[in-house]
Amino acid sequence: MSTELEGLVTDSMRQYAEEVTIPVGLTGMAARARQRDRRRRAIRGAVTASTAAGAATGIAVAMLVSSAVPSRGAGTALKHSRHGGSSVATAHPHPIAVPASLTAAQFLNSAAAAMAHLTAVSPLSGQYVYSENVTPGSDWSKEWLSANGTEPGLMEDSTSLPPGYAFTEPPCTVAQAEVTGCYVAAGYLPSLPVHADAVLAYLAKLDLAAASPPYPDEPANWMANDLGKAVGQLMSTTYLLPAQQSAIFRLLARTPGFQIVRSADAPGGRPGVGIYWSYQGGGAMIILDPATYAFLGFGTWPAGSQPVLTGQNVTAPDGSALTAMATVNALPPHHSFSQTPTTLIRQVRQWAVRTHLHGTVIQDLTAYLRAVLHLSPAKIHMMLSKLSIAHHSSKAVGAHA
Amino acid sequence: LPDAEGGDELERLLADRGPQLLRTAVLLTGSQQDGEDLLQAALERLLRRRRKLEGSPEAYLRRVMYNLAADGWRRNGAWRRKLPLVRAGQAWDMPDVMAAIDLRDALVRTLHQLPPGQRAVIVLRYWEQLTEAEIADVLGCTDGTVKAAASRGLKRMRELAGPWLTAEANLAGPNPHGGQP
Repeated sequence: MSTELEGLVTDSMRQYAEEVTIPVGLTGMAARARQRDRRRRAIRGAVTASTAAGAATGIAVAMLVSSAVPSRGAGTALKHSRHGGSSVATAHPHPIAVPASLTAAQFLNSAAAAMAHLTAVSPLSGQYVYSENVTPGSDWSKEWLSANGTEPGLMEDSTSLPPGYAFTEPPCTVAQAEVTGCYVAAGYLPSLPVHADAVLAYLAKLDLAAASPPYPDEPANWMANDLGKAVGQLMSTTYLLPAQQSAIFRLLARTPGFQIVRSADAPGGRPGVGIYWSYQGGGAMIILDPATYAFLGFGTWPAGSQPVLTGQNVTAPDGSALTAMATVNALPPHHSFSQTPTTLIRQVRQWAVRTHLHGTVIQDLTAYLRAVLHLSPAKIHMMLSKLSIAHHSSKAVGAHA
Repeated sequence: LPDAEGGDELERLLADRGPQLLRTAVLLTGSQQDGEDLLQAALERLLRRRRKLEGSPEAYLRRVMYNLAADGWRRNGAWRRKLPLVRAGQAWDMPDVMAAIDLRDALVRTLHQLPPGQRAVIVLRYWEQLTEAEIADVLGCTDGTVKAAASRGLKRMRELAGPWLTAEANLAGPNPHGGQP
């Protein structure tokens, strides 16, 4: 039976692979890769320079926040943070000194105890949880998740899409995730337990962390890695009640493999305390505010570059910082983008043949080609000409057919 | 790859091997879009490593794609790249009802419900037809890990595709004409 299944699996994959559309401009991916590589190197240089400036990073965060928070999204609704304060965190001029003898478990238990006393308002089922994260390279992402996961969510990010465009997140509730294995797209998880004992089982049920080693020869620290990643992901985009955060901190406190980093800067420069773990030559940390225990972000080190923790301030080369979280009543207006340029062009061609072409479609396409593929206006014009829609193109951007 | 920046080597590689690489990427990710993104990400890695690269660029690309996929590569965000590949668009990319009753289609869909590591192993084993030792080499893990992942992956696929497998068995079973259209 197993051999029979293996044969079927092989046949299925071959058949499926045969049906893959090979884009005409496949070799164009090389140019795009080069372009991104050049941009990455330029950004990397800039980041190194700005990190050296040190004290200025706090100001940089404030500017990022004011320019990145969309007035249309977060502004339209009642807005509250997890901790009852402003939803946009600001830099602390005088970070609190953490005692040298404090362990990760002690810090996490203090965080758990502090969180246990807080109360918060729960999002309503029709609302969305808006979150905004920035990276060390000043890239940002914004996410709107339907509070209970029944509605499609949205994701915008500065690296893959022009402003105003968004990827759609397919809806997936906790119940659906358990049955179909879809990826939970709920901004609020009322079913997330408030007791540490039950949290791990819950995360395992949703495939966010494993309750036992996935493989017999799993490397050391697998559990810290699994849990750390799950918690970082949850806190970056999900609205967690203080009691839920308390349970999560207690669970982390009793999980072996975490070390405290007494002075860790979140991407953007906010000072915090890191809960660090290493895994297979790399490292990562969750960064918490030393006074309020609010989640500030996380930092990661790629394999082969884990930091030496000497008690000095630590800044990770990669990661992201949570700069805003709020509940909102509706999604912002957006252009949904779930296709690659190739499929988009194909779609535009079909539309162009079938119907009167709408001005906004051309606008979408032009903006995408310019912002994402970095094509020149002349090149875009040429591409659109090939689609026999030249007369609608650059001149007609914004016009209505 | 002496100088990917200036030369056309990447273009030549893509013209020659691109379709096959893309097919692999689509199998690994479960959608055309994510497959193209995965291949694109692997090309960027290749450029980053071009000066240190030894051996065939294609082999490197392939290795990167599998490792990114097994490592839980995703389209967006520094953190998400490290998370399990999560079937982006799965709910909306569902084939129509007619296609869904096809066993092969069902099997490929179950493939994309496996955890990323198991999926990478299954694709390497049954699409690339590599041995367990070769797979272990590509993914940088032990033979035992590969064996366990392959066996769990197949078991899970069998569970998930159960109704279709039963239907197929019934069609091919007692009634000799049952399987004929």
